[in-house]
Amino acid sequence: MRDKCLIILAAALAAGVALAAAPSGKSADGARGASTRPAAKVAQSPATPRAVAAPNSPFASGDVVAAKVDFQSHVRPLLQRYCFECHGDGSSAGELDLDTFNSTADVLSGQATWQKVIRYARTQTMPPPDADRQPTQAEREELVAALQRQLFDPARPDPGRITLRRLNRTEYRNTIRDLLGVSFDPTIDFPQDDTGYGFDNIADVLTLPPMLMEKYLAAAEKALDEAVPTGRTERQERKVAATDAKPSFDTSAAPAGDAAGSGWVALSSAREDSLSVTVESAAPAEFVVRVLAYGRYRQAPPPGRIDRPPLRMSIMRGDVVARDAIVTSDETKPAWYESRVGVPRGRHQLRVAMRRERGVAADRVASGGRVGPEQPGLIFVKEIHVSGPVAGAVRRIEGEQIQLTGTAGRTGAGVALHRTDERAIATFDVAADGHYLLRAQACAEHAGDEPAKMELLLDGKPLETFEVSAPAALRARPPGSTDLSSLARRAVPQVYEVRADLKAGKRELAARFVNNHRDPEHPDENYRDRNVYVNHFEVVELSAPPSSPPMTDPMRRLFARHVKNGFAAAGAAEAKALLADFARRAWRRPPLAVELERLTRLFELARSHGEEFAGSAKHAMKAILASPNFLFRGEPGGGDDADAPPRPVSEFELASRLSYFLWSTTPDDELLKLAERGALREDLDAQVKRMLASPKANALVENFAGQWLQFRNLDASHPDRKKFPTYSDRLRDAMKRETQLFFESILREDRSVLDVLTADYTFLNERLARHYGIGGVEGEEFRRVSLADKPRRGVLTHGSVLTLTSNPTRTSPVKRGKWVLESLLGAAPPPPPPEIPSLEKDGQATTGTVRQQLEKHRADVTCASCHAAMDPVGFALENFDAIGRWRDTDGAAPVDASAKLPDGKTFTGPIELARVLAETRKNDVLRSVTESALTFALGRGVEPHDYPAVDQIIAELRKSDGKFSTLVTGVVKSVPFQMRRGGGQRQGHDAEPTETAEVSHER
Amino acid sequence: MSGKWQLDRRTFLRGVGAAMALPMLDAMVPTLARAAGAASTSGAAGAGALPKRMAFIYVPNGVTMKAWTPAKAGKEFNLPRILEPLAPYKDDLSVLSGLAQKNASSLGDGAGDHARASASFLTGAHPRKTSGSDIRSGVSVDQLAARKIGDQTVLPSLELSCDAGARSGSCDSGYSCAYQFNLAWRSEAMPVMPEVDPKQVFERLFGDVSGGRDSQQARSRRAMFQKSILDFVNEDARKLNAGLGKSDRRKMDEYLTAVREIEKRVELAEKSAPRLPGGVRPPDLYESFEEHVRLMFDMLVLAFQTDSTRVSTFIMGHEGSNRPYPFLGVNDGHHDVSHHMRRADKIEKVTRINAFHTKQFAYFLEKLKGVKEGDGTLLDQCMIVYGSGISDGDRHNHDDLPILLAGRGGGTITPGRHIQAAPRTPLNNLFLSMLDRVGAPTDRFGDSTGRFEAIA
Repeated sequence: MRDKCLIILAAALAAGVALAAAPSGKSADGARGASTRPAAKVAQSPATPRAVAAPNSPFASGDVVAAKVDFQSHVRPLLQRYCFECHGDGSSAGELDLDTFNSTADVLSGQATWQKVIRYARTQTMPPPDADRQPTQAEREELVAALQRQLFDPARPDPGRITLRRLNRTEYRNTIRDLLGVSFDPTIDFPQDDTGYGFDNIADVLTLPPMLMEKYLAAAEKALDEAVPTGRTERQERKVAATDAKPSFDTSAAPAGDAAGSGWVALSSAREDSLSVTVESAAPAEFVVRVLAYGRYRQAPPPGRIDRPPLRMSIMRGDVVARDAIVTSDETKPAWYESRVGVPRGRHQLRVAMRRERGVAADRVASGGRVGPEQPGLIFVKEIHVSGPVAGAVRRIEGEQIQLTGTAGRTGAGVALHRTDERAIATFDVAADGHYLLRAQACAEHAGDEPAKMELLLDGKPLETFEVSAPAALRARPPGSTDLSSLARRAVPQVYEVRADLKAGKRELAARFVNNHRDPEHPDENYRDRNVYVNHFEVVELSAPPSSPPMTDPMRRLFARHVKNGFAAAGAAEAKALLADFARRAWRRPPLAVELERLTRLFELARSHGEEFAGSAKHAMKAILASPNFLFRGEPGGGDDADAPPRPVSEFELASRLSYFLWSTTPDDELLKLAERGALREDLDAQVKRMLASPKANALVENFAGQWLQFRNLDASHPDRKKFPTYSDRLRDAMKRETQLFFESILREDRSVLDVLTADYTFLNERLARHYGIGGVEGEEFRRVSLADKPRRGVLTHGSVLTLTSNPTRTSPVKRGKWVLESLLGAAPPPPPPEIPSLEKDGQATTGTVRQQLEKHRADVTCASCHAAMDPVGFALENFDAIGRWRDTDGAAPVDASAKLPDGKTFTGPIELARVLAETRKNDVLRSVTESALTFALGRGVEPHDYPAVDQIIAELRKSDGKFSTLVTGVVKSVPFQMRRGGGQRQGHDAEPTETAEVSHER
Repeated sequence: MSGKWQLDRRTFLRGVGAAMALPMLDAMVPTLARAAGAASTSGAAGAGALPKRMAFIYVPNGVTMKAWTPAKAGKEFNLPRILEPLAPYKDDLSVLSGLAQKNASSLGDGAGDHARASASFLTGAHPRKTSGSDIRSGVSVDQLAARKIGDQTVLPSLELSCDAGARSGSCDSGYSCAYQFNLAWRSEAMPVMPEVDPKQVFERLFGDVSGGRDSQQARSRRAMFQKSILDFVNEDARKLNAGLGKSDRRKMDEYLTAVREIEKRVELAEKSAPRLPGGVRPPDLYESFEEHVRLMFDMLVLAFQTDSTRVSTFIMGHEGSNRPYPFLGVNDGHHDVSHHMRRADKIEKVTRINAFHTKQFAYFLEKLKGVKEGDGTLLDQCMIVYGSGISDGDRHNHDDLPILLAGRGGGTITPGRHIQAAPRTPLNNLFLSMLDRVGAPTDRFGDSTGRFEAIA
């Protein structure tokens, strides 16, 4: 067994390295042709990493196997000629003095410094453009190559090391979702992860304070309770006097005319008063709420009129209206009003409220927002009765379990239906024939004169059509009023339900949008488009007795695999198999025998304290999810020794690295199975292809691109509302969506990463198209739009990037320039000097456009060296205002979008800027995206010893014209991704699987 | 995008901090400390004495010093515009002028004064310039105190902030964002992430109390189950640790420390009765920045009042914050206007923001003063430092810092003065004096040169 492992190890090692150094066709090193031979063959040879590894270095013109380059003869002369004027011979500008370095050893002791020198030389940041002597491109490359050679030995690649990595928020959320099949976000109250090198998955920066550990424990418990519900819901009957319910208002100010002490509590709609009662349910359940109430109108109807608008009392759970009851009884005859309410697991507030009328016409007239007019009276409440559960299992279908048609899109937990006939579809299993309640929780955005309509269908057959009058109220604010702002900004969804007799089997419940309406010219943007939002579906089993709800699908399968004869008969043996299976998925490797023993003991502990089988298993599962084996990834037993020969990471670790890189989640069963067989490395190409094709690869959009291009930060931008009244949360979301969809197109269509700079297409909806001044795009949904005849190219001209690189009240060419340098060219400018000199003399106000002010700025020599590179890029984008709209004037002055780069190249406007950058800085863009991808994939910063790997990937990218898949494959096959530093002893995780690890796994 | 539709998590109540109406309870004296049989905390006071509390409130980007520093030293001092909101508490606080945090200066590291200002403010250490790997500052003064006295309360310390960490990108001039979003440092490599949501703070302090309270038996059973899991993961971590390299081991140390701390809390929670004063409800949603700040202060008062912790830090705004304050007529970002380049309009805007912050601080003092404890008030038992690690936002200097010290430290501090220290007196001297007072004395801290007993 052990011998076999060693051979596999060696094979994997050889394969890894050989792949990393994939032939570049015209390799400088003739011997490299051998690198394509099959891995198995290599495995036979007594290859050591040292002998195999000789990555092809595209930067080197000479023989890569050559001995070290001598510092004194190869490096120092160039430094002397081009750098010493400021950084040597007694000068030490920027506190950098290069002539103190005299040998390779000196260089090695100052890695950080030289890393910077390489970077600045490569990106033409240094020498500054106004320096007398400028190196030729060839000299630059020579210097960079020679310096790189100082820093590492190309014959001995150093994969570096990755600290044990805690799952970050996103990874934790996705992992829990995949493992347990729960759809809520367990990380909602986790603290924000700190970022390093521009990413939030950097091992060294991800700390674990006690507070987070508490949250991990709580999250594991909550997620498991949802996935494996074991709590029995006791029947509850509660009678709460209105005076004991929790009021949302000050009860001391009782309305005139109400006798104190009578037990009646008055609700007014002025501030949407409510009374609430807390219920707790161990499982999702159905409750009935009954309220004793009567209504009183504020004044008698006008003479000759007897009809009056009804008084409505809302029975709600949290913010959701279960039923709007029309209160017709008066104080002479109080009556009971009741509603069924679906209650998820946990503690919830059931509320009785008097809300304002919201919806279509009346609301618009009354408030211009969505607050609605007050109701014409008060409602008095005396008793609230809560009883339940009153029915069998309540099944909720939400989030990604809901399927969509057409252009419908997801919004957080729910879905949005934009056009007529679009549907949200929930499929569910009916266990037994019976009587059911089918529900959809929905709200709508209004436009036109009738309410939005939603039809519920069962297996394609219409059941009933509802008017969805519940307002979505995404950002409505009542002008001039702060009182109700908190209420107005919240959507108030309502429950729409039908009863139906269902046959056992797979059923499909759908919500169809019946009547789309658009009114693009409406002055209030809140009334331009009618949409329906469906938050979730519920299926309530009316004919069955109250019982525990079903497990989530992955958990049902897990339990079914190991418990064949019912939970009552199941014991430690079943538990052990089940826990081995679950631990393997959760820990991304099979548990060791001793670990499994300890897990089984936890099961037995709970069992001995009266928990049933599932509850006891859950106790051990909670430990699995709180264990460092789950929360941290990385291979333990890591040496830190850069001199020991590197070795390939284990197949399990490779599976994790792949999965968290491409999917931001845990490896699926296929990856784990391949790893178990030691066959993942052999199958790498196919696996990468499969993974990129999976919808899960969309994680790359938000997590990789979102951080690389920084558009995740858009939320932190707050354009001044007065100056930019059209900027809204929805416009911001649309901007973000544009950039996401754009990057998704690069990923899905395997386009060139250089498209981020030059693409002449983008994705727009009407809102954003109008914002950009582009016609012919109608409706909320996004679609691809050609920019061929428009002055926009690539992400540089996306509203998201333009906004996040602006100040609240104006554009900032400096920030825009810095963003381009940092994100696209990988040449973050050196930080500004401390105590930045002021632009102007004391008290003398600045005048002119931003551009004119900056021109002055650059007259200052201290500023010029960096601003000469940053500002021109920003100037070329000056035709876009601080929220990305096109403009021809800045204040009174016409926009001047001409620019001159440090090398003397001149251009005007965004299209030329994109072209010039693409032509002259292509390599820098490729380097920037490569280093970012590597940083994201490894969870650590790129170090000098990674440069050969980076150069290798760039060479491949140049050949494939920047294809995205080339980037991914390049990273996956690189030395730092495939290997780890040697030294240290290792734990035998793949060498010593437990017997139970062989249990049959998910098909 | 995220969470916008997760409606059922939200309550429908008015989200006003003031609506939570903290009852002015009589001495909720250290029930827990007694329950746990803990000994007295202070070296100076005898057994049974009231515990001293220590808090540090941070405001970013410096202040307009001209509108901050009183003209004269001593008891007869004026309150310039920024300090005006504190007039009702003039006798409860001192203005300390002339203090410096030298390690916030460049010292050869170039730009990054914002990151250094917050990273050094309580640590007295010069943070390592890195945007990722190997962040390093020092153990902060609050954490030094928490190490010593933190075991007597449910939470050793409480970290609060109104700003969640950055979502992407690097922060100030090549410094990791960790430096700017954290004030407390447990070890030199481990900042303590603050809690941003007042509701979460409440639940950390008192658990989820929405459905009533558990019986003693239920508590014991839960504690037993919790402990079995903590034992399990503890062993996992120790096993892992054995085979780890140096930096991996540091990660596992964090884990083990966290587990130990939770174990302690589980034990304390099992023994102690529920500590939540009657009538106090969990905080509601907030609608404005001011409400957010006030709710956080409410939580802090509640934590001190119930003796749930004795050490706290609160970041009202993270260093370098560019938050606009439109409700003050400041539509530009705070950081932008703090680089006022001596323009009168910008100085006016920064000053307004500065005064807004002190107004919130006054709210905090009011609440503390409203809680009776022993013969005096809760504020009397407190030592509250309020200030910034930058003096003037335009100059980025780290000497002559704007610092207030409120409370009487259990009778060991004489407030009501403007104390003018010798120029560049280390701020760390003040911290040494404070550590003495909570019973966590230490010889040196950062660049300290001695105690700052002028406060006595």
